[in-house]
Amino acid sequence: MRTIPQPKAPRPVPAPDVEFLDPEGRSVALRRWRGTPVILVFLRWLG
Amino acid sequence: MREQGEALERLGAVVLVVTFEPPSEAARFAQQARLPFTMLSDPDRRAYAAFGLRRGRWGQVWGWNTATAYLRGLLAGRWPRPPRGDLGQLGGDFVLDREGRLVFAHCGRDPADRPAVGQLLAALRTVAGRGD
Repeated sequence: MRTIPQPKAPRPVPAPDVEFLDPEGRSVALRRWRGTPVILVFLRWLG
Repeated sequence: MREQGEALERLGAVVLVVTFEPPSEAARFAQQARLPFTMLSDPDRRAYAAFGLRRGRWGQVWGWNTATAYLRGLLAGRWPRPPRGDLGQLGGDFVLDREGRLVFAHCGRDPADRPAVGQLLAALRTVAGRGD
């Protein structure tokens, strides 16, 4: 009986290396949170 | 997501909320909403673009999904605020493992298109299960 090969799960890719501003306007890189799982939520308008 | 604080803590995860509004507006919003998460700004939208989040077309922003989302809000007693700022910018949700790799990505196709919190937690659990 022929075995149907199962596709391998895709390897996770690095997230973009981006920077943000904190509420005080200071630059903070996303890599600052390396070592911690992160949920990143990009909002629409703040209305 | 706010209600899943304990689950997030058990998984050792942090939630970063990003807006394209300036830092002063982000701080105001976080304070008014009593946001228990870290609030960040991306006024140049470089991070938005890097994660593939674009501005929606008129039909995407003001389509049926948006109308029903507002209707659900109204029925729940949430009145929409007067629109201001860029209504066209679409949002998205991503989960990163401890190495900064993407294990979940969802770019919204319209304003109401967001993943269920359960999907985000499931992605986090796969990270925790790998011991990453």
